[in-house]
Amino acid sequence: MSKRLTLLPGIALILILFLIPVGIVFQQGLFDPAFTIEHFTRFATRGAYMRIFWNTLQVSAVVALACLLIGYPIAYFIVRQPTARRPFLMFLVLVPMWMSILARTYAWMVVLGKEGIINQTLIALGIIDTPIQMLFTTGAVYVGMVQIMLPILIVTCFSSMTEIDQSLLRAARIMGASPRKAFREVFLPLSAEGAITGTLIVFILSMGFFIVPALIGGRKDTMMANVISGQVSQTNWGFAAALAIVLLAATLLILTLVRGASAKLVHHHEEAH
Amino acid sequence: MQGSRIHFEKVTKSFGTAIALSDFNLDIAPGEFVTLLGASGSGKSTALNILAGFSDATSGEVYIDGRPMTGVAPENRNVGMVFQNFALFPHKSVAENVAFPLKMRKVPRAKIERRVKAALEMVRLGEFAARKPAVLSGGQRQRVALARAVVFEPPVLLMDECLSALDLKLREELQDEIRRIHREIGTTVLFVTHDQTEALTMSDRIAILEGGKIVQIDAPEALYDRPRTRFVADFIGQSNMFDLATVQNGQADVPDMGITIPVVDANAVAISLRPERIRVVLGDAPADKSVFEGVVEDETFFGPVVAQTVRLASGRVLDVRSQRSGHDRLPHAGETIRLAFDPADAAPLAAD
Ligand SMILES: Nc1ncnc2c1ncn2[C@@H]1O[C@H](COP(=O)(O)OP(=O)(O)O)[C@@H](O)[C@H]1O
Ligand SMILES: [Mg+2]
Repeated sequence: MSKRLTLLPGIALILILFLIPVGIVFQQGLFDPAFTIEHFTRFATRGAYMRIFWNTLQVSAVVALACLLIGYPIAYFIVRQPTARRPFLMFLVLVPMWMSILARTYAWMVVLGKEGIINQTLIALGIIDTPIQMLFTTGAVYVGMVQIMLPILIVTCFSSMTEIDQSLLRAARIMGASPRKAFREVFLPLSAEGAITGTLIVFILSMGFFIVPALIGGRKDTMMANVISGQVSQTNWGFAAALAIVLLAATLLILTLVRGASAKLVHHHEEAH
Repeated sequence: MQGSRIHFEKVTKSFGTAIALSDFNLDIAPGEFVTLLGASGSGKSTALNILAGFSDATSGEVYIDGRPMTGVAPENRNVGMVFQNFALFPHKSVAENVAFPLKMRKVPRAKIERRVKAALEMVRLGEFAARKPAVLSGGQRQRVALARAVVFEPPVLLMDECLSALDLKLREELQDEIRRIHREIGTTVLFVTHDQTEALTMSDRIAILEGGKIVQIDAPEALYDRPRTRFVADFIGQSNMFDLATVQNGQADVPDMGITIPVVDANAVAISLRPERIRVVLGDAPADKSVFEGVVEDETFFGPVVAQTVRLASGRVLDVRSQRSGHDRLPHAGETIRLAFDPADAAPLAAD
């Protein structure tokens, strides 16, 4: 009984900070003032909005996978270091997170711009004559977002990797597994769940990304959050809410699908043999 | 199947300035069961890890069947190992765990199934094949680890304190099981423990480790009857140790006892006497030179055996264990007791 009571403030907090705002969004999107799906039809029938929606999905997926491909090996590398050296390396991974996303995105403008470090260096070295267009491209969005998300994935992977008992790898080796086989048979399956979780977190956060595409992306790199913000500033609350609902639904759907698929995969792996 | 011969030749291992093994020499015959016995930190795991290929010796060489092992990866040594924490793969079923070494050796599937089944039956876990390690008890996990380590019939089997996590009854049960399996498959076993009883009951030979060195290696009986240093005498069983005064012409004084005994070993500085080797001299038996006296200070009754502590005139205290069947009446606490022993039962100790 007392345990339930102690949970009460937490539940109240979730209610106030999460459920009520989401409820308001739903109300805004679906009632005007009577029940209507007008906003959703507008979203579905205008090609531009659908295109932005697909673009958001695609960018988020690419960023999440890129973070996995870059971050997993980094986490693996750090975990293989002597225990005493790990905290410092993790510190280095986390340092960028102390800076605001806005500041980091502006920094990318300095790096990627026409007068930026990369272009100037390449020109100075005589490799190119005229600056390459890097800023305001899709590539810039990917680079900026991956840079921001990478620590999250590394931390998630790292913490699941540190929980793997090192003697399991030794056991695999002494039983005849090469280092590669030991990795594939033991380390990979045991770190997969953390990796999938990290990738999903990055994906979810990317779906709501806003600053990076707005500042260093091109016109066609607009994401859902940019449109929502634009609609809000034009006080089209209803349409903005409808877009937010679509974004939320899509995120939840993909989350469920990936979770289901990965559970099946792990299960299948266990059943195999 | 034939076990391998194992040979450690002048192996040393240091971690920075810390020396984990120094001048470690050990020759194990094919099929022999040898135990490394020593306190925590004495270098037991280090020796095992070097043999398994998990770490390299700083100097020296390990041979398996005469083949030097430096540069041979663990997976190419054909060695079975049971880890202290069992190291079962949590994401694999019991059967998959046991199948692992066979799978790595690309044994055909049908044969894998047959051998996994046989191995699980050997450790009486046939019906647990499909379970995950997480749902098994400690003893069952230990058995799975054992089955997994021997399923590919390795000519060498290493076990690192693999029973110490289990309670006494289970431990004794598994000791029997390990001995049975050793007899059945004839593999060479290098067993590590810090439990002397376990070492005494299981081994063909026991190597006592101290500070990264083997201080004595012998069959359990010889180790118990003839410890060569104070450390060993103290480490294995209970022992009364007495300094010797100058050894001359095969005779030495034992100042604490006030007697002179024949001592063959000219290098002996002390003797070790097991409590059960000391005889109580009853009645008016003639007091020859080998009899000495003390006062019973304390006694503990164990039924067939009585343990007494006796204070000698010199102030030294010694432990005596007597079978009650041989005596009508032993002196009780506070009474004078006359003691003697066969000098052949006194193990001469060299300086540590
Ligand atoms: N990886 C290591 N780094 C530093 N010192 C170590 C390492 N492994 C073992 N040692 C040291 O070597 C000595 C022997 O260790 P170990 O072989 O594990 O002993 P045991 O298994 O007999 O308890 C100990 O003093 C231990 O602290
Ligand atoms: Mg150890």
